Amino acid sequence: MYENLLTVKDLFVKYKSYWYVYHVLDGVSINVKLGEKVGLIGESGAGKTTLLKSILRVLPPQGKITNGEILYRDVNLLNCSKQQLLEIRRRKIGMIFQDPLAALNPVFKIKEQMLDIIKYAHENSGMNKRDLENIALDLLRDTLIPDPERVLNSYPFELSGGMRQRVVIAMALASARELLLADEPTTNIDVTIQAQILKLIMDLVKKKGLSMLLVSHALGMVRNMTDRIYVIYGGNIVEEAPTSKLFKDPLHPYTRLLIDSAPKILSSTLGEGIKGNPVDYRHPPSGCRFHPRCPFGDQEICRRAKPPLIEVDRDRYVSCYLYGGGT
Amino acid sequence: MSVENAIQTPNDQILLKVRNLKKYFPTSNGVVRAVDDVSFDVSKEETLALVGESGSGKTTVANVILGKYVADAGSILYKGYEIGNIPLIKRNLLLRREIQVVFQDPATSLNPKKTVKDIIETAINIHYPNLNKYEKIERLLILMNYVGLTEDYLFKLPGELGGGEKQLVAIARALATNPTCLILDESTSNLDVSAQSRILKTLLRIQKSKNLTYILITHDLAVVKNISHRINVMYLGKLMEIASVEELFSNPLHPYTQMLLASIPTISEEESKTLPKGIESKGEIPSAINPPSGCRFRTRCPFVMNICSEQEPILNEVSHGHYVACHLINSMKK
Amino acid sequence: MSITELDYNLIIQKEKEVRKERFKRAWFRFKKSKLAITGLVILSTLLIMAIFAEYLAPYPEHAGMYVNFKERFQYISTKYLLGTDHLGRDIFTRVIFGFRLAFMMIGIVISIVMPVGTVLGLIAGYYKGKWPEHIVLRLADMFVSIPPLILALSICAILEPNIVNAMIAITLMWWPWYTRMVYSMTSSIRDEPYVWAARALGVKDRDIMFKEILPNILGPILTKATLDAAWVILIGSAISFLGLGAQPPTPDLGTMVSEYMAYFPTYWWMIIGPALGIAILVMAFNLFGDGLREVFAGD
Repeated sequence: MYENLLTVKDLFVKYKSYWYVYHVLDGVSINVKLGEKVGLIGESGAGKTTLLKSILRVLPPQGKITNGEILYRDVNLLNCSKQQLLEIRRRKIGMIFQDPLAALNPVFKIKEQMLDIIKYAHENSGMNKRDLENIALDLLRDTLIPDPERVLNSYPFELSGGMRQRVVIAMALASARELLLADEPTTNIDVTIQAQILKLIMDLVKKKGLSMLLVSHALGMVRNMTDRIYVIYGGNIVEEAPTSKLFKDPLHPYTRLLIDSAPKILSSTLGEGIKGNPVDYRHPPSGCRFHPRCPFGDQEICRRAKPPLIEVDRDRYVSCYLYGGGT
Repeated sequence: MSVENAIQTPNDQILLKVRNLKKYFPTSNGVVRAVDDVSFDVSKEETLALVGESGSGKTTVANVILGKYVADAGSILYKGYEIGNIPLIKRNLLLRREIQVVFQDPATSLNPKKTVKDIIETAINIHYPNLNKYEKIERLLILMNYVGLTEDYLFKLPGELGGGEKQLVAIARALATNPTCLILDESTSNLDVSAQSRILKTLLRIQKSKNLTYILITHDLAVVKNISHRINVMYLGKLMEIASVEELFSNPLHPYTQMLLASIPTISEEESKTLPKGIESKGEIPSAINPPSGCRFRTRCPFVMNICSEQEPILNEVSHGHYVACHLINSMKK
Repeated sequence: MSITELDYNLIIQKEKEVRKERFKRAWFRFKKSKLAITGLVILSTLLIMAIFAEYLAPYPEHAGMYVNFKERFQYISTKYLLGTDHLGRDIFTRVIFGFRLAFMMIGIVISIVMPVGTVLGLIAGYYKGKWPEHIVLRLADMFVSIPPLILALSICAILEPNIVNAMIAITLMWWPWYTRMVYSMTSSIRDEPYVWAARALGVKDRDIMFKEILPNILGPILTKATLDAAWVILIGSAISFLGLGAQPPTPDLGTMVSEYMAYFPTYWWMIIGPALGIAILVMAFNLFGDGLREVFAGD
């Protein structure tokens, strides 16, 4: 019943600085089906943002995609024509950025910034400026902004953090007709506003029939908003599962420890946390990238080869030798 | 009933007494009333959480206690001594030793050009100048050991440490003075969950063995639930509710507290069930330059009544140690 | 746990090793930049030449008062590598002695300007909003408001035109730039949490300025100093060229250019030596400064 909307196959991304090479994404494969809400959980430095940037082909010049395929429907974003790429960026995929203050240019009014995007999203439709402005107003109304006319004529600094994030969402919606990418949409926002923004995104995705890829480190947020979750650690997808199953019964040791270390409201016992530090991409660990921090990681095989992502249950995939996959 | 009588901590072992504290910041648009008449107590060896959105004044309260700002009105009594009007530069070493702070952002709370040894040594040199060089090193190693850092970290620069490790160094530096009271200013909110729980565990362990008092500033209620004893809920420079952790989570009375709790993103079904229902987050915190009249929360409150805009609710004790400033609760009680 | 002398010495030993290791890594970074190494090599060669000018220069006596009309206006040859000037002096010798003078000027000016400017900037930045800031900044403004060359020229004109007064002039016009740079960096760093943590611990103001803030801004200051060294030469040469700096027969590169200009169309090679000398020195300092910037910038 689902068609694959976005497919990332075996993606490798490297960053090169003057001194080092950072092996960030290490064979990442994900897919987003039509009408599906997919979450990508990982801690800071796990490669989440790199993945999103690769999908939109906006990696900084130091970043190189060395291998893999990114398919949007049947268009390969890595070797399609510039026109096709622009078409997809302008009219198919919209992205909500992390920091609402940084995502808006401080010296232009909201109107100018929104019209810029809407203009391209409705290229060749023969609309005049008035029509485009009306579209902008509609988008702002969609995001439940009170008094959209005033907001349209404001500069970003005149708006509160919550307002700015709504504007960013409205701008993402202008070009998101099929897929919405959200990169930590509520970091640096208060919990009460966060709840409002998340509800808003959910409602809009439902209303407009969008698919969504939500990237975040906040477990609770991803749980409440998605159908299916990928867990990413050190540039590897370590687990994939339907949301409800993942939180009830996490399989990969990393997922388990991660969920365990989140502070709980019900019990007052704190999890152990995870020893050690995130992956140093200059010299990533051999084999399974989690093995130096893993409680079961002292096996020889963990050091030797990267565990394959194997299906252990219906719709459940995990990349760990605890669940087989070794020879 | 005066505020003075109303606010009494569960035990009489009071370390810090804040009374009618006011701190205003003049700006070009008007006066920001960051903290507007706040009174509360902190007892010895407890963890008191100051909870609220940004703009609620919680950080300003902590900064006045720390001496970064001087109080405009009201008093802060620390062990019976007035400290609210002494800026940090005028405080003597003994007082500075008593109150230490761990900041929010691990990336900027350590000097990037100093090694872990130099960072902690600075604190030891100032507060224990009479120790000989062997004793100083010994103290340094004990402190590091205490927060769970091995000798291998001695000569690392902050840039070579992970976020959690940096925060451990910051804690060790604060502990170097042997403080009584530690202000945790969003100390874990910039960390990943896997590092966060390690820091929280360390903080709990240290508190138990050193009998420390924590003042925890945070917006993360799940963290509060795990490490604090009592909670002060602040909104727009005012206290809305004071209660013990168990009481606040099981019986939140103020609509704002309920809204905060309802907004927590939960990680299991069971958790969602325990949180208050039927109150949804709406609106945003207004500017502290012209706060709403009467109850400051009324613009976002789903249960707003006529009296709310006319009269400011005062903190009333509804049950032992549980105070609420809300007309609705007061009228129900009558 | 008790620390014995042995443990203590082990720790100190380890600290030294780590420092050495860090220094090695910084050197490695510097080394990887070919331009910076080129700059360093040229600079050290010139410096050695300048220091041992008496032994390296073919005709040391030509540096000062010396006249030999028989050999004047000689073209470039193996005897006179850059030819001779209107008084029959070997230009190559004079250029080498010119380097010595240039290095002395740079050394004296930078070693006064950099510390003075830095300390004033630290004070102004650290006591932002208080009287030290106002005094230092207004004073700096006063000097900055006069165009640098005009200021230097007027000082040289009022005082006797000689090399010492030229250096005084350059020093006076230069310090406010350091002060302003250090001021702006200090006033942003002073509110960093680690500075607040130091205050909460009770670290003295002086120690906060010099031990917490200064190490974090030292990189840009040193980089600026090397890049400024080039400017000192250029300004010094400009002053000398206009006849207000070093006076003949002092072998100053700028003075030499101005002197030899008079014979330019006919005896064009005379000017090559001093002009090229200035160019090479300025370039070497700039390359070196860029290399330093790379080292301090980190990854």
